[in-house]
Amino acid sequence: MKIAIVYGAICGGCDVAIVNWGEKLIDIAKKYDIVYWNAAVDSKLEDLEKIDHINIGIFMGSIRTDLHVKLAKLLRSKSDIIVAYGACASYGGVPGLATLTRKEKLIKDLASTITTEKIEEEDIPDPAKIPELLKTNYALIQIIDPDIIIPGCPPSSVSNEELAKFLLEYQEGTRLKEKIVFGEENSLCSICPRRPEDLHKIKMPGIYRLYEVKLDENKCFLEQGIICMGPATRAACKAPCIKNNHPCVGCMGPAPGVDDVGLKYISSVASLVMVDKEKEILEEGLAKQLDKIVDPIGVFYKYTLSNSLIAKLAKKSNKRDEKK
Amino acid sequence: MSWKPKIVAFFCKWCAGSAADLAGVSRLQYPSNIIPIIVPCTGRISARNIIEAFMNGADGVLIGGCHTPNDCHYLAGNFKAFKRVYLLKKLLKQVGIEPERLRIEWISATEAKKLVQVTNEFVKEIKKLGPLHRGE
Ligand code: SF4
Ligand code: SF4
Ligand code: SF4
Repeated sequence: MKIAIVYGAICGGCDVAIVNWGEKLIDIAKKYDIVYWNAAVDSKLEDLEKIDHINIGIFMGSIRTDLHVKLAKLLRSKSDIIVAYGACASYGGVPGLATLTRKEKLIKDLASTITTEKIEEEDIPDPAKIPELLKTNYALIQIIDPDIIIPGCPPSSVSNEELAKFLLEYQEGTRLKEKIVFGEENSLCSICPRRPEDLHKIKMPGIYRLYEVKLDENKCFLEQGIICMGPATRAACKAPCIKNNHPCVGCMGPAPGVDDVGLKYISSVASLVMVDKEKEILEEGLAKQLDKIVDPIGVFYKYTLSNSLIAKLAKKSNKRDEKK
Repeated sequence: MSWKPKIVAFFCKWCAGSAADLAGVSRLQYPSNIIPIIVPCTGRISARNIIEAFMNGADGVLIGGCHTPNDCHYLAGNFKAFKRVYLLKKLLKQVGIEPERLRIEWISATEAKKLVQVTNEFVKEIKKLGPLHRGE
C-alpha cells in the first residue's frame, strides 16, 4: 500500500510529532511504501502527479499558497483516505491568525524588519518562481474534505498512537462511513486533573496574567483568574500543559458541539468573571477586568481563526473592501 | 442610494420588550428599521446569536435589558449580557468592524420614551457608518 505525507504551510512540529513514532515508523514503513514525504524521500509536485493511486494521504499545515491548494487537491483526488494532521490542517492553526491581514501587508512587514531597509509595496521584487501567496489563509478542511481530522499543535502522543494503530490495522480499499475526529467526545475539562467539583459553579475572581498570581498547582486556572481554554477545547491530549502549570491555550481545537471557539468562549467567560462582585463593581469595574484581555483574537482564536464565523463576518464586511 | 440600515434589536421581555409595547400603545413611533426580537432575558443572548444577526444582514445590533444593578428578573442576566457585549466589541474592533454597530442599553418597562430615543439615535449612528455588508 502507498502512503503520502504532504505539507502545506508547516512549522515542522507536526513532522517531528510523526517522527516520534520511533520504532512504529518502521512497522508502518514495512506495510506502506512512502511515496511522498519531503522529510524522508525526494518529493516534488511532479512526483505526486505521476502516482495514480494512494491509499493514505496525510496532509499537515495550513493552506497559504497556490501550490498548497494544488497539492491538497491532488492528494484528495488520488487518496482513499485523507488525514488532516495537526491544528493547521484541521483549523488553520497559528498561521491562521494572519487570515485578516492583507497579504501585501504581510509581505511588506516581512521585507521591512529592523535589519532591512523600509521598502514600499511596489518596490518588493517579484518573487520569481516561488509559489504565490493566497489572499488569505485557509484550513485544509476549507479546500478539501478529509476523512480523518487529528487536531493538536502538534497532535498528542495519544492521537499519534491511535493513528499508528489505524494505519497498521487498515485494510486496503476500506472507506470510512463518516468523518472521524480524534480525541474524546468531551471538553478538556472532563479529563483535567484540576477539574473542580462542579464546572458550572466556577467563579473567576478577575482576570490575571500568569505572572500576577501565585498559582495553586491543584486548583482550576479559571478559579484563579487565569484564562484557560479547556472548556471550549476538545479532550485529545492528556492535558500536558496543565500538568506543567500552564493553562490550556486550545490547540486541540473546538470541543464537540462547538464550532466557533471564540464565540463560545466569550459566552461562557461572561458567566464566570466576577459573578459574585457584579453588583458592587458595576459595569465600570467589569470593563476594567475585561480590558485585561488585550488581544481577544490571539487568546480565543489562537488555532481556529481561519474557518471561524468572526473571520467570515470580517471578510464580508465593507471595511475591508475599502482598505483593498 | 436606497440603502436602509437593518437593525436587529434583542429586547428583554421584562423591560425593553414591554417598553416597546408601551411605545406602541402610547403611539410613540420607533423607526421601522428595527427588527425586534423578544428574549426572556438578555443574559440568554449568546455571542453567537449576535454575530449571526450580523452575518444574516444586520448593520447594527441593539440589546435592551433591565437596569443594573438590581432590576434583572433573573438576578444578573443583564451583567452577563454586558460582559458579552463588551468582549464582542473588542473582538469586532480587532477584526476591523466598527464596535459602535453593537450597543447595549438599559431600558425599563416604563421607559417607552427612552426606547424611542435610543432606537432613533442608533439608527442615525448606523446610517452614518453605512452598510456592514459589501455590495449593498
Ligand atoms: S499544527 Fe502546530 S506543530 Fe503542526 S505545523 Fe501547525 S504550527 Fe506546526
Ligand atoms: S478550565 Fe482549565 S484548569 Fe479548569 S478544569 Fe478546565 S481545563 Fe482544567
Ligand atoms: S492542554 Fe490544551 S494547549 Fe495543551 S496540548 Fe492539550 S489542548 Fe493543547
